[in-house]
Amino acid sequence: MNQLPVFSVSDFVAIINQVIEMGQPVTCIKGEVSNFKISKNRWVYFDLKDETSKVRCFGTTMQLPMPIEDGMLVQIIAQPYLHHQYGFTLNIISIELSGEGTLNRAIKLLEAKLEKEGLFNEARKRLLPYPPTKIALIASKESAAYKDFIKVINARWGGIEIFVFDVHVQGSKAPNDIVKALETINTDFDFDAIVVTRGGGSADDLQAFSNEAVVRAVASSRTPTLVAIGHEIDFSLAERAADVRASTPSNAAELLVPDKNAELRTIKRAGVQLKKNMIDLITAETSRLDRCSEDLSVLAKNWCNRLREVIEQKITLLDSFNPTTVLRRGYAMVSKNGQSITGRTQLEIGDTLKVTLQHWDLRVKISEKVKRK
Amino acid sequence: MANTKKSYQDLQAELDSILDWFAQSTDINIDEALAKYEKAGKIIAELRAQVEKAENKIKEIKI
Repeated sequence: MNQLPVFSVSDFVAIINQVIEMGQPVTCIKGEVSNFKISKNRWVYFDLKDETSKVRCFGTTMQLPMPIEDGMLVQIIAQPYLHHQYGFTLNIISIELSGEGTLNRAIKLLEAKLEKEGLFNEARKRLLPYPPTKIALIASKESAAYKDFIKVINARWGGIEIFVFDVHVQGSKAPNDIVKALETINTDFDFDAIVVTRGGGSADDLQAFSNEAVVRAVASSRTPTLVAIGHEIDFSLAERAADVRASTPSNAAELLVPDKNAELRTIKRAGVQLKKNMIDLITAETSRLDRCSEDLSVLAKNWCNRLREVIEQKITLLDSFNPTTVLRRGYAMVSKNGQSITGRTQLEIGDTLKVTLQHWDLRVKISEKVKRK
Repeated sequence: MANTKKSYQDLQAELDSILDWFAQSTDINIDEALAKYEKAGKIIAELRAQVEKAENKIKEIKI
């Protein structure tokens, strides 16, 4: 038997780590969580086990997609490593929850935690500009959800600038992609709204949208958000944190913009209503002016009648002063040499006077003057 | 009209307020009504122009 090399413990650990690094630098393992612990709010320790085996795992709280507890089924991507003091461990790169039961439980735990923090409060919800002119769309460009959204929005409305952020919408890369897109949009752009969408799938497929980092990024977005994940029955915490939730990608487009044909009908109705209002107004004004004109005519007529009465009274008065009228009543007018007789001194016995009657002129001589007593 | 382009939502609100004015005012001044009617006509034209805009523009952003 050949002589075996003798290593120091440290050398042995270093060599084993080299062997691991060459053979299995990164590995993906699925198993049940046990002995889950968080230390100093930062470090995460648990065992990953199946029916016969278990391995120790180590990571940070930042890597937890959702709250984890014993009994949950998870799939981790990790680097196997032999620690010089604590032995064999899997250094976690990412964790995904696995199986509907585990996911539902984790989502419930996270929902309760975020609810307590107020992330889902109705008071935080903002209205989206309607319709927007510039939007960010976070989706997978190859997905049916993307195609549905674009198809419906194009059919309903025009003139919108749509900036597409092509991201993974499932799998281990999805949460990071989505968070990064949200951060970039809020830091480097100024959009009216952000739409986050993907189509339906299993609870596993949709879990990125209940990932704690994703939910927090949606809730803290400076730009208003509209999230539509899966179908009507699907549920994600990102939708609860969003300003507006749509049931499907098509519904997201419907909520985001009006239908142009319906709008044109509304505008037409408004135009017709406006014309009717104006015609009613002009008709009312014309009637008012007609009434004014009638009133004016009656006033003028009354005034003319009154004027006529006054003139007639004056004519009657004038008529009463007419000498002919006096002669008609049997009186006579006496003159001498064309002068009216106004006093006794103008008259002498023998003078010839002119006596004017209604129809006759008489020439008479004065034969006597008698003073009336 | 101001140079800054109003949003569809703002124009709609402005049109609604003019229609409300016509519907609710009891003692309408005809000069004011004509001015509002003319303004509403311009708003309707602008709304129609916005609705009939041809296409959406799609641009992909790499991150």
